[in-house]
Parts: sequence; structure tokens; C-alpha cells
Amino acid sequence: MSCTSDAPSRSLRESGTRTASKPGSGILALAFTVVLGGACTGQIVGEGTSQNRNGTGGSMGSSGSGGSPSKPGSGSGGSTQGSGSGGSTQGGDGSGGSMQGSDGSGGSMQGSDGSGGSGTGGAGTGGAPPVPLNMGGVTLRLLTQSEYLASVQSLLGTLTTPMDLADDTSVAGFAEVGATQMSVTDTAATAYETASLAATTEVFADSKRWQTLVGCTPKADLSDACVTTYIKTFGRKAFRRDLTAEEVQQWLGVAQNAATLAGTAATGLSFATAGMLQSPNFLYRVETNKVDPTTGRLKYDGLSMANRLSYALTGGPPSTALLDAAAAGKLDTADGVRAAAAPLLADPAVVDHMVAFFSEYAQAQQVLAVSKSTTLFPTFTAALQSSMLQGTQLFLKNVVLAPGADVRSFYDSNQTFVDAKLAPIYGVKAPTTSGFSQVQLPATSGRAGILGQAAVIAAQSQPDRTSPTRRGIFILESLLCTTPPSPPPGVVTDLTVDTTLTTRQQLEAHRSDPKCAGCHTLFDPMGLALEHFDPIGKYRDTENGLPIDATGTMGTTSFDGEAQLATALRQNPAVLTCLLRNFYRSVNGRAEDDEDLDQILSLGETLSADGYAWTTFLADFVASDAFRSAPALPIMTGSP
Amino acid sequence: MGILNDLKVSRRHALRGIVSGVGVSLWLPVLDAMCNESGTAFAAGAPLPTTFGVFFWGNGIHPGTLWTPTATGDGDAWQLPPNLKTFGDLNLKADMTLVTGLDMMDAQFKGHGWGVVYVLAGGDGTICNITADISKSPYGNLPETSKGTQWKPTIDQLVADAIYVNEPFKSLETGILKYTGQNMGTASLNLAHIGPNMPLPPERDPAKLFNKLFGMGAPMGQGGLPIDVSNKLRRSVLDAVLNDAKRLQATVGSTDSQRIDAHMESVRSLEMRIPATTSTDPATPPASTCVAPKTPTEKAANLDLTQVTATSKAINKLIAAALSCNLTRVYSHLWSGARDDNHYPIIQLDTEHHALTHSDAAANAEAAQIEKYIMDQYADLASTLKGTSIGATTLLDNTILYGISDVAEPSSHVMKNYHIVLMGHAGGKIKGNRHYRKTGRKVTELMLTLQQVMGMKITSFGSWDKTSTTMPEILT
Repeated sequence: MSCTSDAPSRSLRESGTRTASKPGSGILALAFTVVLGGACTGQIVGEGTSQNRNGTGGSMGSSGSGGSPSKPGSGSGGSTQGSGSGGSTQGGDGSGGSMQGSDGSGGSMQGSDGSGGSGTGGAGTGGAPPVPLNMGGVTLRLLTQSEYLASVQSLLGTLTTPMDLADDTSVAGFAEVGATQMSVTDTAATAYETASLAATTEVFADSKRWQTLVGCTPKADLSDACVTTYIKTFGRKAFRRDLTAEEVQQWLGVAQNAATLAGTAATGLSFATAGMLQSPNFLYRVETNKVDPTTGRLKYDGLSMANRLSYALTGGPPSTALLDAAAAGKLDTADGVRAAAAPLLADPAVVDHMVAFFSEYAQAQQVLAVSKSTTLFPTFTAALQSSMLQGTQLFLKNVVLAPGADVRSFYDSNQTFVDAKLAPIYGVKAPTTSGFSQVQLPATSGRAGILGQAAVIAAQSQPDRTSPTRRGIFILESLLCTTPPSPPPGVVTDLTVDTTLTTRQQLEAHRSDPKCAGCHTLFDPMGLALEHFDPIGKYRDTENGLPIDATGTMGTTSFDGEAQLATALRQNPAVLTCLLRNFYRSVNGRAEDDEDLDQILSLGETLSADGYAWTTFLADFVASDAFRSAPALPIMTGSP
Repeated sequence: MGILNDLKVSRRHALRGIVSGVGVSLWLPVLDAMCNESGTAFAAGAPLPTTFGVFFWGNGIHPGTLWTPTATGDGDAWQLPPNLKTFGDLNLKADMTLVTGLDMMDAQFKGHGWGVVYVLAGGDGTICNITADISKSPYGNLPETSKGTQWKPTIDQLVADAIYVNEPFKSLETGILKYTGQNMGTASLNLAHIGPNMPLPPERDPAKLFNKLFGMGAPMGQGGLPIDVSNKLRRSVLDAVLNDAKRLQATVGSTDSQRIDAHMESVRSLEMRIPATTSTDPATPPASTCVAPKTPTEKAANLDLTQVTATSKAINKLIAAALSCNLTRVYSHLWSGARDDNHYPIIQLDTEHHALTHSDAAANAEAAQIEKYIMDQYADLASTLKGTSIGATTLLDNTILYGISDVAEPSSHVMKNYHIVLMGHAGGKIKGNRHYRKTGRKVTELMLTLQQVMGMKITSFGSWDKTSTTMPEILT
């Protein structure tokens, strides 16, 4: 996609137009909770200068009435209601209308969720004359840390030496998206050199090990034919394609030169091998696609599909069998991809990789990064943080991704995993065996699914308080793919801390003041449903001696506490679409665009048809257009 | 030294045999032998290389009695405000230029994500004159989302591009506190960026920073390999890597091509740090101003916030050591990022910084205590630089540090009245001991002047508040 890397992608705000044109069409209408427009500019009724545009699409509730329309002059905009896009600015019929809202003047600045693409955002001028579309090309995706480690392990086997790599850069929630955009810094290049040499030094210090790897015991000057064979064979696995004759000569030369200078075959091969691990041919996944005239989409070539398949499913490199299949044209059809994927899907690495995806999606890893008040939470030590993360990963692996399991258990399962440290946080008995055990959360715990996981709650809390707003926004953005606008100009956002009140009571202004309520009703109720969980995720009945009220309403749905909220979320089709959007993002290494809409919606239907079993879905996913091709995005000439 | 200009032409050969024809290791500190009699310039008459630094902290300042001196002018005409008191205690007032009253465009409400783009990169590349214009930028909606980043190179990278000769590191990025919140993209976790989603992550771990700067001497590869052989082999490998990069570059589009360029740049920098000869043991830098410090034992701050002062001091010492050994001429220190959400148990504060700025008067007073604490650490950095001599001058005299925050006043988020704490004299170009205040002037005017002070031949700067107006009021 050589040109689309320069092309902005239109923001998903335009999707509102599309969904709105099919009012009431169930999943379609719900699917894209569109970005809020200027709903929260803080104008109150009667002021007449409202910039209000549309309400958001359904964040909660089933097909109900459309969003309340914003009429000129009315300030309350954005409804949290049910299906469909919100009203138009032209007055009251609520059936569509332009979603140009966020582009307007006057300080409403939102937050479209869709302007990704590698590097440049979208200018999104709906209605402009047709723009030339990209015809395909090459995209480079840097290996993420875990992909690098998996790839090295696949090539050299398990290593004991620590590999200290530069951190991943997360963009749009995923390291995979960052990896498609970031460049290799001086620090990173240095780290690659140190890591690769450490790895090969370990391997080549052990003669049996390296001779097995190389496939022979060459002479000290590496003049044997088997050395050339090694370069070709290892190189093919490392670069995930055949080497050119020039490349073979180059790396052979490096090996032989090194062997001469160092005096041993092992050192020569060690340096050459380490070199190939520093080559951009190893460090970047290369994806090449070309426009398919019958579909108008950019179809990935066989070799790209081999790479995409293996990294998407296992997080690791393609086997030589898969590379062979690619070379034989077997990955050019949906059936071929499906057949090639079948043995891959049996690999336990797939479940582990999916655990990693769901964990990244829920930002569970953040629990390791946050600090808490040691006065209030002395038990929140590094050890507890580690247990929290591990508990969540075990939940994902053994409950959500258990064979045949319904993936929607991610939202509302009453099962989790605890060790002795975590048990008190969840209010359950410590396991009798050491390590982790699966437990059923009692109904009284009010705790279910991912939002009940201590790692997630602790990561979305402050050092000394809960922050329902932060938690609510996390749910809105992560689980509902909706971005709220920023606070409007001039609004006073100060919260006076009053320890004679609960947090909910202290946030009363969010509900009673129309300037605040317009936006806060979109997320506060969900955040407040979590108020029984303190800043480290432990259940509490009271706060400051007062009973906690965790009731809330979003649209027509009411809930009391997180477990009930979780049930409501599970039932909302928009939530599953949002999951698929994020999965799509992670697999493709780019934030989704308008043009990906239909694909994602159709994936939702596939998931449902697969009984929501994630591994079954994966088999269909990899054979889909969404995975085997990319949309042809418009080419933008010139950028700021 | 005319040599410095010649060096630019051939970086690979630059540092061989510079001093009296004797091969030296790559670390080339400013040796006394290279200087003129008064130690103020290189023997051939060119001035000692000036260095450029950025000290960034999150969540702004509380203007007024704590931060804004009532008087302006030079020397005794003005007094340090209470939150900058430690600079006075450490005898650093003479080295400070305090600039207050600066705005971002029409000084409207806007947030941390836009502020950090403005004060570090002068905007995102779209020409904006009033805050409302930001909505016409294709990136205008992205700050304060998970896609927030810098769309233009940050000022430290612009300076580094212009002044880098052949130092082991084109720029040095360090940091203390790591943002743990949501939706700031790369722009709060990282200060320096070379482009969108191309951050140069800061090193926050003192031991890792030490290794990066001073731990490069050991041989790599098989045990027992002599160091000069190891070095040769490493270079030969990196040459092959560069060849692969060049070939790959020919197959990709323009954005990826730029990424490969950056990658090759990085590999070349790494290769240049591999000593070319073995006539000196590279593990021991030549005697002079360059004194390799001891290996630090302090941990990264976020691992134990109660030890943050010790971590800060350790990193400050390493920054000074890096500069005194001429390891870099451009450095940036991300004390805390835009909208930082860390708390400060070190001063008995359990509520996170950002939340304190959006609460009542008592909480804001606590936020101001955090600001004072941060300024104390800035003063420690400046003091450490002042205490490190090079020739007859000091690192502080020879540098200019741009001390800035993402927002001006944090409670209202009205981007008005930025307070910028400049430290150092840029080799004499900046007088110091001055408070300059002119309300309504723009931060980009200051940024333009700072770049000119560093010798850049530019006449305008910025995209938000694009300006050709300079700020000679800070100059000597």
C-alpha cells in the first residue's frame, strides 16, 4: 500500500451517514456508534447559539427510538439512546442527517475514532469529487517485541539469555498499530544488536546445538557448500522469503570474513546469523498487495498471506511449510487459506496469542504501570500487581478462550482465577493449592467478566480514588468504540473533594448541571456502576461510611452494579462490533477506516454464526475478504 | 575548530587521528589541548559547541504570587518567586531567564494534548492563527486520544538536525515519571519525536542510561574474542544491514522510505560508536573534562515513587557526564509528561497531579507544591551542569535549557500566560538574571529565537502561531 501510507483515511464520522440511511436495520444501525458531535458545547436550552449536532448512536439498549434530535438552539444534544444515529441539525426527525458535526467551528473538537491509516489522519470531506484510489503496494510492519521474541525462538530455539528490547509504541490501543508507523531509533537499533549477538553467542557457544542448527560441521574458513545452504535455509526462515543470490553472497561473505578474522567457524557463523537478525528483512514484516479488478480491493499476495496468517494467529513467523504453500499459490484463494490455517489453529500458541490480544484490548498490562497510595493501599505491591495480571490472563485463557467457549463470557463470566494474594481482593477463599485456581464469583460479589477483573479496575483508577469518569470513559471508548468530546470551553471542571459524601454524590454536578450532563450521561452511569470496586479493585459496600449507590441507566437499560452492567453490555451488538473493530485493528496494524465498515459488520455475522466460539471464528476470519485483502483507500496529494 | 566543519563531511572518518595525528577512541571530549589559551574556544578560534536542552514537566503552573515576579528586568530589579526559590538557594538566579506572559494563539481553552504539540513542535503543521482553526487540521481531533502524537519534529530534533556533527549520540532523551493514564498517545510518554508516531523514547532507568552512555566498551560476540576483532566484525555486520536496508527502501512508498532512512541513520550512529582503533582502551575515556561516573544503583522512578529524588539526582549526574564527555549536544529531559497522573508520596501527596489541578483551592495549592518540587529537581540539574567545568567555562554557561510545560494555567486550561524557565547562557548569547514579561506574545516567538541562538539560519517558525517575530529581549 505504497501510496495509502500517505493518504488520509476518512473518519468514521461519515459512517453515520451510511447507517442512518438504513434506519432501524438492527445490527447495522447499532453497529457504529458514531462520534458525538458538538453535543456537549455546554449551551443550555434557549441560548440559541447551539453548535449541537447529532447524538451518538446507541451506546446502550436495543432498537429503541433514535437519538433525540438536536434542534437549533437546543443545548442538550447527545442522547444516550438506543439505536441509530442521532438527529440532524436540521431539526427533529432523528433519521440520519449529516454527521459533519465534529468538524465545525466553535471549539467542539472531536475525536473521531477512525482516522487512522499509517501516519496521517483523514481530512474527510464527504461529498468531494472522487479521488484516485491506491492500487496497492508494500507496507512495512516492524515486529513488535513479542513477535520479535517469538521469531527468534522459532529460529534459534529457547534461549536463556535475556533479550532487552526497546519498548513497543502503542497507537490506537495496540502495539501492532504503532509498529506499522514507528521507526527504528538509535536506542532500538542498539538494542537489536545487543540482543541478536547475545542470542547467537548463546547458540554458537554450544557445538552440538549450532551444528544441528547449521546442519553440518564446516571448516574454519566456512568454504563448505553446506554453509551456503545454511545461509539460504536460515535466511529463508529469518526473512520469511527466499533470499536473492546477491543476499546469499553478502551474508556468506560476512560469515567467511568473520570466520577468518576470528579464527573459528562458530564465530563467523554467529556474527552472520546475528546480522541477519538485525536486517530489516527480519525486523519488518513485508505485506504486498495489489488491486483485484473484480472486487476493487487490494489483494495480498501469497507470501504476504503466509506472514499474515502466522503472525495473526500465533504471533510468530510462518513455517517453511506455509512458505512452500505460498510459493505454490495455495494461499491465493479463500479455500486455500482456510486449509493452510487449519493445522495452525491447532497450535496452542494460538490461544496464547489470543489471550495477548484480549489482554491488550482490556489494557490489563497497565496494572503493572500504576502506583497507588501506600497509606491507603499498602497491599498493592509489585507482587500483587503481577498476580492481578496473571489472574486476568488465566481468566482469558481458560474461560473466554476455552475450546468452544462463547467469547461473550469476556464480558459477564462469573468465573475467574485467584492465587493467595488475589483472593482477598475478590473476597473469595484462598486456593488450597499453591498458585492459581479457578473460582466462581458469588452472586453477591456483583462482579463479572473483564470489568470485574482487579487488573482492569486498578489500572483505571487513581492512586487514592476511583474516578467513575475515567472508568466510564474507558468503557465507552474501549468496549463501545465511542469517543466523547472534550469538556467545552469555559466549563469549570473542578471537583471539590468532600469526605462526608460518596464519590457519586461529589459528582452530582455532572448530572444536575446541563452543561455537564450532555456528555457525562454518556459515560458516568457506567463508571458509577463500578463504584463498589475501590482503587485496587476490592469490593466495598460503603465509602466514607455511606452506602454506595451503583445504580445507573443508559437508554432503556438499568443496572445496579458491575455484574448487571456486564450483562447489558454483553447483549449489546455494538459491543461485539467494537471487539471486532479492535481485533481488526490489531491484526492489520492500522486503525480501521470507513471502507472497512462492511467487512467488520460481516465479520460480526460470522462470529454469531460460529456460536461466538472464537477459535471457530478465526478459521472463518482468515478466509474472509477482511483478512485477505485491504480496502483501496483514496490517495491524498499533499499534506500539511 | 575548522575541523568540526570538515568532520561533518565525512562522519565515518571523522574522529580518527584528530589529536596530533594519534588515533583516539570515539569518545572525544573537549580536551584541554584542543582549546585556546583562555580555554574559551577551540584553538582555531571557533567557539566551543553550544548545547541545547529541554526540561519538560506536565500540568503547567499556578501564576500569581507563587510564580510570577511582580517586577521585570535585570539583576536586582526582580526577585525569584517562591516556587523558584531553590534556584536562588543554589546561586542560579544569574543563570536564569524567566519569560512569562506568553500565549498560545488567542489564548483560549484547549487541552494538554494540543499544548504539548504547540510548545514542543510549534503546532501540527496546519497553519492556525486562532484556536478554533485547529478543527480544520486533519489531526486536530487526535490529541487526547489514543492516536495523539507529535506531527512535526520537536524542537530538540530540529536543533539536533542542524548542529549535529559527529557526537556519539545525535540527541539524548531522559525522563523520570511515566504517564500511566489514557488517551495521550505517544505525546505524553515521550518528549522527542522525529515525526508522527516516531518518538524517541526517554531512558528513565539510571543503570540503563549509564550503560547506554558509558557501557559500550565491552567486546560482543563469543567469549574471549579480542575487542578489536569484535569491533571489526560488528561493523562488517552493520554494513551488511545497511545494504539490506537500502535494497528494501527501493521497494517501498515514501512514508516507509522515510522510516527506513531513520532506521539507517540509527544503524550508522550505532556503527560510529564502535571504536575505530585500539590505540586507546575505549573503556577508559581520555582524561580531561570527561569523567565517567560510577554505575548508579537508583531505580527508575515509577518503581518506587518514594525514591524519586534520588533517581532524579542520578539521572542529572548522567546528563552532565554525557555533556562533559561530548557524547551529545542535544538533550531533553521529560520530568513528567503532558497531563501527568503520577502522585508524589515524596512530598506526602497521594492524589495524582492532574486531579489536583481540577479540584478546589486546597488541591491546587498541593499541585503548586508539586510544581515547586519539580523546579527543585530542575535546579539540581542546572546546578550539576554549573558544577561541571569544560575548559574555562561550565556546562551551564555553554548550554541553553528550554524549561516548559504543556499548559499554562492547568485548572482553566486557558492557554494563556505560559511561564518558561530558561537556564544557561548559550555560550554568552543569553544574559541571564532576567525576567522578561510581555503579555500576548507567543511561545513560538521564543522557540524561533532559541533556534537562532543555536545557529540555525531560520527566519520563521511554527504552524500554530507561525511567526517571524523574534524575542531579542532574552539575548545579551
